[in-house]
Amino acid sequence: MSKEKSRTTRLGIFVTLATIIFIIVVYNIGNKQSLFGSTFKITSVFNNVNGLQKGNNVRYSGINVGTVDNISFLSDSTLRVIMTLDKKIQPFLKKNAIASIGTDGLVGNMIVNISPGSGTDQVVEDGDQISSYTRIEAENMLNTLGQTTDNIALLTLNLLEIAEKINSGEGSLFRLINDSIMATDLKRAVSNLRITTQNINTLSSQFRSSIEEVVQGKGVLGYLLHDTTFEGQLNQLYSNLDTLITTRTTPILNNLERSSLDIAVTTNKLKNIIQDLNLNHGLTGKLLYDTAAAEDLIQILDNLNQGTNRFNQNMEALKHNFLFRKYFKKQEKQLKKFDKPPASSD
Amino acid sequence: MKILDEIANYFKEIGEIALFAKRFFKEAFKRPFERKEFIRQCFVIGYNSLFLVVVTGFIMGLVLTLQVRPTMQEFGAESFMPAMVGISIVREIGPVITALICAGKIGSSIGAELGSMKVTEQIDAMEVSGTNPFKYLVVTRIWATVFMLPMLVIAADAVGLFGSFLVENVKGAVSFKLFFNQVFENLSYGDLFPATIKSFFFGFVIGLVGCYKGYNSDKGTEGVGRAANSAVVLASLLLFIVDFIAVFIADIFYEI
Amino acid sequence: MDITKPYRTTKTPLIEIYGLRKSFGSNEVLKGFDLLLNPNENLVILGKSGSGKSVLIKCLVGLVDVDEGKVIVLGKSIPDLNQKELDYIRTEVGFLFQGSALYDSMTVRENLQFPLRRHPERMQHFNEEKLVREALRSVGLEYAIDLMPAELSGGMKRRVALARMLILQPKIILYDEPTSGLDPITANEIIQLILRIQRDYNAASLIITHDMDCARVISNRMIILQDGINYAEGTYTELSKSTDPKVKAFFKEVQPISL
Repeated sequence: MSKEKSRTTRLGIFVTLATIIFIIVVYNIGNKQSLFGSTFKITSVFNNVNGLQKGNNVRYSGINVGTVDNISFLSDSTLRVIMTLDKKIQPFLKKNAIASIGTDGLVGNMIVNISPGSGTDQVVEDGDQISSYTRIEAENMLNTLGQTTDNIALLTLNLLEIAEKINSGEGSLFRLINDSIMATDLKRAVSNLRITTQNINTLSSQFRSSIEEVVQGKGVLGYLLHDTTFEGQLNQLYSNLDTLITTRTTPILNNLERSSLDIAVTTNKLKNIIQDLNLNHGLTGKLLYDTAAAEDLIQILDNLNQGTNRFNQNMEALKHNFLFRKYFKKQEKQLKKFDKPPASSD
Repeated sequence: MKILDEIANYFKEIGEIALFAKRFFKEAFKRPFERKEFIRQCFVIGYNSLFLVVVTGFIMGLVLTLQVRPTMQEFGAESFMPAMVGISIVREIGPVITALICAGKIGSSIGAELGSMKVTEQIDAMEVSGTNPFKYLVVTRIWATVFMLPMLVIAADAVGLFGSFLVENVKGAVSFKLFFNQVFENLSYGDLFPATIKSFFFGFVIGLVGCYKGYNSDKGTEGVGRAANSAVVLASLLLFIVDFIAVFIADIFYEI
Repeated sequence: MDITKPYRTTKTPLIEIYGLRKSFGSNEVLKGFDLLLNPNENLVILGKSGSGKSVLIKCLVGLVDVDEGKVIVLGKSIPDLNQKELDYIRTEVGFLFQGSALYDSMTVRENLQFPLRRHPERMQHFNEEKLVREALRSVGLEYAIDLMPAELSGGMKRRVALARMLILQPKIILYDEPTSGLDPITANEIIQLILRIQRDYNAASLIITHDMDCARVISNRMIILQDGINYAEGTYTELSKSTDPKVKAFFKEVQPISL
C-alpha cells in the first residue's frame, strides 16, 4: 500500500511540474502579447500602414509595450490602427506622442514606434488618438540616394571635362608661356590656381562633411548610409574627386604654369554658392527626418550641379574670353610697343 | 494474388483498428471509471518513461544547437539561435521525438503486456470475474497515454531547451535570462497549442495501437512478440501520418 | 425474475446444454453437443486436444458466442442475457483457467481482491481482508499473500487461482485442465484440494481434462467428447469396460515404444 502511495505521489509531482512549466510558457507568451494584466487602448491614423499586421509589436522609446489590436479603414486614404498597450506605461505616455510605422531591423517585422512628444502635455487616456507621422520609406530613401549619387557622378564628369578643356587649350597657352612678359603674370596665376585647388579641396571636404551629417543623421536614412557598400561608393567618390584634383590639375599646373586670379574668384563664387546653399537650407541630419528635407537635399545637389556648370561656364569664359582677350590685348600692346619706338625715335 | 491478399489484409487491419477506436470511444466515457488502474498506468507510462524522455530531450537540444550553430554563425545570425531552437523544439522536434521514443517504450510494453494477458487467459479471467477487461485494460491505458504524452513532451521540451541553452552559454556566452527571453519572445500560441494538441493525438495513437495489437494478439509466445513488434512499427508509422495531418490543420488555423 | 436473488433448487439441473454448435471459420468444433449437470455432481468431460472442450466451457460463461443450440446456466439462457445479468451469473460460476491466469502485475492479495471489486453486495457482511485470508487459508497459502505471481511455483499458482475462484463462493465450478503442466505429486495435491473444496463448498463441478488419474478420482460421471458430440457417457468403471475403440483409446496405458 505504501509503495502504491509513493508511486502516486511521484506521479503527482511529475504531472504538477509539467503543468507548471506549461502554464509558465503560456503565461510568458501571453504576456508578450499583452493578453494578461491590465491594458489600455490608443489609436492613431495613418495614410499607409506599409504591411503592418494585427499582433505586430508596439514600441515606446524602443521598448515593447504592446501589440497592434486592429487595423481598419477610416476613409479611402486613411487607416485607423488600434493598439493595446500595457497599463504600466500609461503614466509616461503623453498626448503629444507621435506614432510611426517602421521595421524591426533591415528584414524584420513591421512595428509601430511611439516617440515621446517634445514639451509637456497631459497623460493619454484609454481610447485616445495620438498623432501619426509617415516616415520616409526605405524605397523612397534609396531612390533619393540614387539621384544623389547620379548628381555627384555628373559633378565629377563636369570637373573632368573642365580639366580636359584646360588640357585641350594647351596649344594657345603654350604660346603664352614663351612670352617672357607673361611669365610673372602666369606665376601669379599659378599661385592663384593653387588657392583655387585648395578651395576645391575645401569644397570637397565641405561636401564630405555635409554627407557625414547625413551619415550621422538618425533614422532609416541613417542606417542605410551606414551600409558599407554605400559608404564604399562615397569613398570612391571622394577618391575620384581627389584623383581628379591631384593627378589632373597638378600636372596641368606644372606643365603650363598659367591661369589667372579670376579662376579663384570664380571658384570663390562657387564656394559661396555652396556655402549659401548649406546655410540657407540647413542641410542637417535633423531636417532629413522628413521628405521635404530629402527634397531639399535633391535641390541642393541640383544647385550644386548647376554651380558646377556655372563653374564650367566660368572656366570656358576664362579660357575663351578672358585669357584670349588679355592675350590679344598684350599682342596689341606689343604691336604698339613695336610701333612706338620708331615713332619716338622720330 | 498474394499481393491482393496483403492489400485486403491491410484494409482489414485499418478497419479493425477503426472499430477498436470506436469501441474505445463508446466505453471511454461510461461509468464506472477504473480510476486506480488509470493512475497506476499513468505512473507506469508517464513517470517510468520520464528519465528516458528527459535524457533524449536533453541530448536532442544539445545536438541540435551544436549542429546548427556553425551554419548560423556563417550567416552571422548566432543571435537567432535561441529563437530557432525554441521554435523547432516546441513545434516539431520535441513532440515527434518524444512520441517516437514512447512508441518504442510504451507501445511495445502495452502490446507485450496485453498480448501475454490474452495468451495466458488473464483477459478471460477478468471477464468472468465481472470486470470489463476492455474498460479495465484498454480504456485506462489509452487515457493514460493520451494524458501522459503531452506531459512528457513538455518535460522533453523544457530539458531540450535547457540543453540548447548550455551550448549557447558555453559557446556564445548567452545568459540564461537572455536565452529564454528570446525563446519566449519568438514563440506564439500558434506554435505552442498545435504542438500540445498534437501530443494528445500522439498519445492516443500509441495507446490505441499498443492495445489493439496486444488485445488481438495470436495465441502462443510468438504472438506476444509479434504483437509488441508490430505495435511499435505501426504506431511509429501512424505518428508521422498524424503529424502530417496536424501540421496541415495547424497551418489552416494559424498562419505562419 | 429478480436476478439479485440467487436461483436455488436441488431438483433442476444447474447446467443444461442442448444441440450446441460452434465453428471457427470452416472448422466445426461442436456439432450438436448435449449436457446436463446436476447439483452436487462432479462431471468430467474427456476429450483429445482440439476437440472443443475449452470452447464448450467458455460457452457456459459467455466468453465464446454460441452459433446454435441452447445453453442454460442456473435456469438462464446465456446467449440471451445482457451484460449485467451475465456478470451476475458469472459470480455464481467459478472458472479455473488452464494456466491459472493470475494477473501478473498484481500481488496475490490484489489477485484475490479483483473479483470482489465489482460485487460490493457480496461483501456486505464481510471484511474484504478477512475474505481474502480465508480463501487463501482454504488452499493453504496464507503466507504468500504479498508475493507476486512470478514468485510462485506452478502448483502454488494453481492454488491461488483456486482461492481467487472460491472467493465469490460459486455454486458451479468449471475446471479447465486443472492438472495440466503440473508434476504428478503436485497434480495429486490439486486433485485432493478440488475434492475438499467440493465437500466444503458443496458446489457442482464440471471438469475438463485428459488426465485419466484426475478423472478417475474426481468424477461421479464422465462424458467423452469426440467428433463434436457427446460420444459416450457413464461412470469411470462403465466407460473403462467399453468395447468401443475410440473410448478404449482413452483408457489405454501408455506403452513403451518397442524398438
